[in-house]
Amino acid sequence: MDKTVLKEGRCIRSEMTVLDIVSRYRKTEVVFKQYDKQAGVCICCQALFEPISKVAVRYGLNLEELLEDLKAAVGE
Amino acid sequence: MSTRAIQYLNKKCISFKVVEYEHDEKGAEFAARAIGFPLERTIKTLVVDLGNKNYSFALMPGDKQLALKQLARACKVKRTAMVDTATAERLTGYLVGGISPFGAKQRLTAVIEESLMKYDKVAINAGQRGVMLIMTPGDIIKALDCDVARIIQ
Repeated sequence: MDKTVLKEGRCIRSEMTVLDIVSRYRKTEVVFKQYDKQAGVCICCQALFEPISKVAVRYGLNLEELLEDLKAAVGE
Repeated sequence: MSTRAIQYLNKKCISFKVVEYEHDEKGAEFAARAIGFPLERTIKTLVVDLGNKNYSFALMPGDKQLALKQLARACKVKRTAMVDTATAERLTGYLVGGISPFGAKQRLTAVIEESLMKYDKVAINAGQRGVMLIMTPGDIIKALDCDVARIIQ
């Protein structure tokens, strides 16, 4: 009988919080820093517990671009 | 109002003032705004992995970012990493947005950012979303027996 092994997905999703992304993928911290100027705040300081979808809306960031940059940073 | 954090401080005869607010958002920024307290004096409590299944609290000014390398130096370990939400909640028994270094489920060491020492009073989470404690940085050190170090970027 075949065994089915389920693994936790390792992709960055918009509902993940900044904390969960940074803690899982350390390289993403640099990406968030690149968006600080556009956001007008330090994202890793002031939006650590927020999902990135909410961060994008609040600080006027392009969510798709942010997701692409985060994924590129971790090689997804 | 009583939380595990408040009970912990009461047992240690440490004085504090409880401030409640309508919790709509997680994080120090919202809490500071809601209670009318400066963000740089509102502490966010982060849980950090020190390696070898050791963890620590990093007590940070709400407007600053943690410097993991400096924290590693302060804790005398090779490297540190922030833990994810699930791990922080499992270790502390508190929900993110309501994590207090006092009365946590697992006893963790703690490091407080040195620049907080210059304030007479700071705000820190009481272990429940929407409840903050106003107290002196010195009393935080007394309650946790924590180290003081520069751990901000």
